[in-house]
Amino acid sequence: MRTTHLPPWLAVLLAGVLACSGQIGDAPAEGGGPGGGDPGDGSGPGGGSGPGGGGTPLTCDAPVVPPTVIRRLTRDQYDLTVRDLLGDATGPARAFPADDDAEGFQVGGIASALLVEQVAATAEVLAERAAMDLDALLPCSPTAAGCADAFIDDFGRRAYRRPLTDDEHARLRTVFDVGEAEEGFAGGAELVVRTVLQSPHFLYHVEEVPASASAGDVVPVEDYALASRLSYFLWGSMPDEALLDAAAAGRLRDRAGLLAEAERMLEDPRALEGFHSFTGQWLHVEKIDGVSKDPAVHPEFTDAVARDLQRSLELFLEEVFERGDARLLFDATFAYVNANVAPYFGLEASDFGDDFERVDVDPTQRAGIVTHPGLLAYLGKPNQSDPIHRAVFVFERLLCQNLPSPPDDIAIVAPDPEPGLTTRERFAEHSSNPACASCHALLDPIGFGFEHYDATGAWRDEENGRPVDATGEIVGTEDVNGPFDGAVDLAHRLSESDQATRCVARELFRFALQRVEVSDDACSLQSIDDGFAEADYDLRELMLAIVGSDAFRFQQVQP
Amino acid sequence: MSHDHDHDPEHAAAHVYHPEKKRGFLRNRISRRGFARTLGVGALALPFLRTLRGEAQPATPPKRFIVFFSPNGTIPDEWVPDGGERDFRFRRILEPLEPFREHVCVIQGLDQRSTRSGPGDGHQKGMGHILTGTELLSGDTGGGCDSCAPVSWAGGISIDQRIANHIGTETPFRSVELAAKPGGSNVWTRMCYRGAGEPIPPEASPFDAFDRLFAGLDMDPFGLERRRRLEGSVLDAVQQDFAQLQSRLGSEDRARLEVHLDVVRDLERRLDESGSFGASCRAPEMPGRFDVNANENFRQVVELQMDVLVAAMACDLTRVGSLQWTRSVGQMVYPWLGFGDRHHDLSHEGDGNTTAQNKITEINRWYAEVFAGLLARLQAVPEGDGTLLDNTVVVWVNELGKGNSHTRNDMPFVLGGSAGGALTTGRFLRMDRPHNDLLLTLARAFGIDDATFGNPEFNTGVIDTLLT
Repeated sequence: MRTTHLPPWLAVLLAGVLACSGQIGDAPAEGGGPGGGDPGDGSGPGGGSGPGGGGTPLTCDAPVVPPTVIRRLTRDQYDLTVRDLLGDATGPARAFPADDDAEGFQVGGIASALLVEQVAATAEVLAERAAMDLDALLPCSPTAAGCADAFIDDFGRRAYRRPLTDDEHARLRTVFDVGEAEEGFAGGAELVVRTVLQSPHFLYHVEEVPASASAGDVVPVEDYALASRLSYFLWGSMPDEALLDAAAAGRLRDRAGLLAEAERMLEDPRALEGFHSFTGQWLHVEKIDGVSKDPAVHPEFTDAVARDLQRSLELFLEEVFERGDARLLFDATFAYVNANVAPYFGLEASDFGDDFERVDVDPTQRAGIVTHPGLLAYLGKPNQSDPIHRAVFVFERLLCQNLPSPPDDIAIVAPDPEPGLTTRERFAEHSSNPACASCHALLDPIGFGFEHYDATGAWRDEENGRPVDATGEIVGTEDVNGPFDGAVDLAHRLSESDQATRCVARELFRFALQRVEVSDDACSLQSIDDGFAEADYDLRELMLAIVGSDAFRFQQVQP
Repeated sequence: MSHDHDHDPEHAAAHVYHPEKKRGFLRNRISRRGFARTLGVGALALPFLRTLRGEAQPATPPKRFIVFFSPNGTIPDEWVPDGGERDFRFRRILEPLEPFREHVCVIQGLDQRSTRSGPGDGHQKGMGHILTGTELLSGDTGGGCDSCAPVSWAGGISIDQRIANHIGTETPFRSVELAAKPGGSNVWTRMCYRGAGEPIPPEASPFDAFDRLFAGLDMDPFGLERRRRLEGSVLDAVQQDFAQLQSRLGSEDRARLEVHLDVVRDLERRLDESGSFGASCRAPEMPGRFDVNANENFRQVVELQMDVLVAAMACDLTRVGSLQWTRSVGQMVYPWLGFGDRHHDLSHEGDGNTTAQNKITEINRWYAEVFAGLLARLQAVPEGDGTLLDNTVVVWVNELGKGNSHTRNDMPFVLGGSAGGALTTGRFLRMDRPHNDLLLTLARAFGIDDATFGNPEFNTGVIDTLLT
């Protein structure tokens, strides 16, 4: 007795959602993007490529980008940067306060006393450590003439990701002299490092504009700032020497030069780190190793299992990245398995050791990420499955479709469960209350499709001694609607969905620019979507399309 | 070259950094971090600290303000006391407060009326309004709620920070925010705000909180002088960098960097300040480090954070603090209560599910025990003619009234302590007012004469009966 008729308020909302995801509406940031300003310049929502589109065609001559605000390095970016800058791989920023969540991605937002103090304390410790190995830190022998100045210029250029100004050099030289008076050359170097690690030029993504530019102007992102955009997107870390040199030579100014540099960087092993940083946040991968289950129900689900399930999904994603085809995310039938995770794929643990092996999985039970037991364990309750959160994941992360929450002024009284029912039967009671039914008409049918997977993501044919019914009907999407049977069926539907592939592009855009798209991004998004489709959904080509977009290469001048 | 993906804030502290284990090049100095613990002394009296400042304890002990948060609503039938204003009897949830009945004030009938206005879902509004009394900001942080406008942060200063602006400027720390498992950073997880859109993250590790507050206090005068010289030159240069950069940036970037620069200025100011260590000033006893985000360690983190905050107040390192236990929509599991259900899941169960209602009652009762434990700690610190509890008010807040309806009416407020006699205690009060009135009244108890707090539209005035 499923309710399929939507109440008027929800129907209106869904129409809005569809219109937005179909044609780049301004829903995600209505009332102001990061800069809080309304889009200007007659660049209203334009015709997108989705079936929900149909607006007036876009005119994309001059670049249009929304205003943005300065961002701090995220914790992940900080850690990889000090690793590349100082060789320190201890991950000190993991103890910093969490970065802000923006649609699932971490963004370095406004600073707090706690953060600034931790940055200061960490700078002190990292500087102490760095000064213990002067050979690694200095470009010259401390006894050589001019070594202090050479060190300041060399270290400053790498840390600020651009050459120092004369003022900055002089300031650091003053600091050096204070430290040197106390402790000799190493003391001076230590104090310089400590200062640099607290400077806004190290801690923030500084993107200065020419003094002659006026508020509202759209200008190219300056050479060095663009180099940083590139390296933090593709590598999650600071530029290397070659990239700084390319910026110095002005080779990033034209699109072709920029893309050539991006292609070089995608061949570097650090590109895989960047991809892991993206998928870790987008698909919750980085949270799997923290999953625990109720030991009374799932004593077999140990910390080692959680850790290896995460590793298994990471290895899967590595292969997807190597092969490039984004649709593998949805329908691939291979997996990486060791003894700890084999049972979660229906395989015998005794056939495997500690090392991971690539295997083909049962294609009737598994397809791509949505059926990966690591993800499903994350999206599972301690002692039972979790249809609601599994469905929310599909809507929000794989279809980029935000869900409405219930009307705020309705008192919701949750239904009382009866013992002995299946999960599906218990949730079916949602439909007895109109306030619940409205949302659950959308969520439950997708969530029920996952009922073959228990709290840990393991396959089950029965629940409470009764056969699992994993049929459902998807409503409210652009191109995935219709009856289906089980998550594998859903996965194949996603692999053929334009909405799903476009969502991959949207998520990567958000990660690359650390902001949510707004209507001013319409032309950029269209060029990205077109590039992705033309490249037959190759992830590397998608990254290049984002790098080459106006949103990546230009910025709007603040008042 | 695989990237290590254990960066979840929920689990970050499994890899906590141990700065004190590294000794740097400047080896003849005394490291300012972790010194107290490397001596291996717990409950360390800090004798020669006083000589650093040579200050006696002020004649009149200062007033202190603490926020105590627990999530996901309560069970009103088990929370509201029986009886009248003075002869009330606690029911199951608040029963652990019985030893402190003369020191508490239970208030029924305060509504978060401001949450009927502005964007956000029930939990978001509850969390963002409870201490600010005004509408949330729209924006792009958070989202997940297309039926409402997207939400970024709370839209105004929180009461603890308003009070800190008034009484927090003489102490090394304006305020200290501590938590256990507060989760990531979004409008569901933040309750303290310096101003609109400026959330204050809490420190989730009592070990790091200890280092932040107590390390450095035990440095000898020579080491201190040396530190001032070195750190002073670093902070000077950093401030110049900020100022020079700000002059070249747009207004919004400038404002954002100004928030950062303000703290850098505070750090420099702090080089010349420390607490005014009275006889009751003791660094708290800390065990060896453990994973502060592991569920099984939750209770110990809660205990230690309270130890740290109370010690910081006894030492007058700060006069304003907050203790945030998990977050709105918190999914904490409380196995020591005999069940493995997640808190927020439970809070959605219907009134007829007596098993779930019992479990939520047990959880809220457990938080009442924690609250009583905080009052006991404060009471154990002698101060003037009384105790630290007498000079403090602890405000217990929840983002919701009742969990399964997500109501923000009838908020379960409990006050502990009288803020130096400014508030009357030993009472159970019923009223029907906006919660902004309570926030305003608390400000008044600290000598702040503001006419309204939060959005003036949701104020009806000071609650006179609370004030002495």
